[in-house]
Amino acid sequence: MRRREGGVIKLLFDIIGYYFIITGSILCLISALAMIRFPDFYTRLHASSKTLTGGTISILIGIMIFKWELFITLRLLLLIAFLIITNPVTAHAIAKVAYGIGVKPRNIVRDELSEKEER
Amino acid sequence: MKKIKDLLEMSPVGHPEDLFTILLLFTTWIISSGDFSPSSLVLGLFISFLAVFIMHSYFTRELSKKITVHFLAFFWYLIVLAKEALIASYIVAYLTVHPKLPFKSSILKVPTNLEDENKLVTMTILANTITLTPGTLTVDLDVENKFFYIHCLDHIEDSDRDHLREELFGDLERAIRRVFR
Amino acid sequence: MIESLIVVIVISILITAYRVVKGPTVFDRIVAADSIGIMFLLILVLLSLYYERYIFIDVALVFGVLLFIDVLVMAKYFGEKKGGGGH
Repeated sequence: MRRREGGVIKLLFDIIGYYFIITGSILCLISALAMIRFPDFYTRLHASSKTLTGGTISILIGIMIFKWELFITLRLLLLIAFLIITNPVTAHAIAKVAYGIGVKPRNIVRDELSEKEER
Repeated sequence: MKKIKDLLEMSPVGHPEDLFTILLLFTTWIISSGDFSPSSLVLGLFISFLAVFIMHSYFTRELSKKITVHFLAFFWYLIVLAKEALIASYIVAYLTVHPKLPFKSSILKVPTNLEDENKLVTMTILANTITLTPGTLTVDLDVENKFFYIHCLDHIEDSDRDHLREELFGDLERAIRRVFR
Repeated sequence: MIESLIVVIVISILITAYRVVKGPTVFDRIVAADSIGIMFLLILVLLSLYYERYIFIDVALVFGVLLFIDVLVMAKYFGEKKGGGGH
């Protein structure tokens, strides 16, 4: 039975790694673009936080595929887990505090939170 | 005499669930420093013990116990989160690059039916998970009546709230319920 | 290869800095500063890969923890009704 050649499998892993890294950097650029293009505070927060989180974990997964050694992979996994858990927490905290102090969303179809504020 | 009793109450002698937190912190120390010499291990054990002793909090006790006992369910939850984060970023990126910005945002009020025990912890975790799914961001929670106020980027017109809940975050609720069973 | 990635992320930082200067409320500036911090964390990890010194990944981890705590403290401070809110 013929063994797998190292060349083809290594090429496949290289292509997946390059895909993740290039997609990740384009997502970071799109996050910066969203900060200057959107008309309203809540949509800016929403779009930049989501695309930045996705781009960061994409670049880190790409680096992990390129350098597969024991302690580097474990440390990068710890960093990825930490970023996935804390980025939504900061986005939600800022949105809640901004609504409490009175930043109003413009161009909105229906706003049901204002009914709670009047009580 | 009373001070010694208070000190003993705060330490892991009074609350044996602190050992889970000490174990998780010690694992993080080993991963982050990378050498297995005895002096480093003893220092890591001492510092994690000191951290748990200074901040004895109810929240980390419950959470680390649930994480270490159902370890595989927590790992599966992290993988689901990573996949959701990637898909969400692709969808929002498509909406950003489009030259006409075709969305109208809105804030909706959605009920949930998690169980009544550990209400605060599970609702907080579900709120963070909703923030990660494509198109939604949690703005406010109502813990007594179990409601979420969600800011959607593209408005979905649906007057039946339970159908909306099922479409937005049905399987996430089931995954979290499996972790916290 | 790694140099071009770092150049792309530096361009993103310069574009976000426009929102730090301009933003009408103070919360715009907090969100933009948080984004610049995370992009800086990415540059730290890429530099640790470029110079082959893997201790910079630990520096990036501590920087991430500090960024998280800073944004929460700023949100709590600027969110009180009386005091210096909203300019």
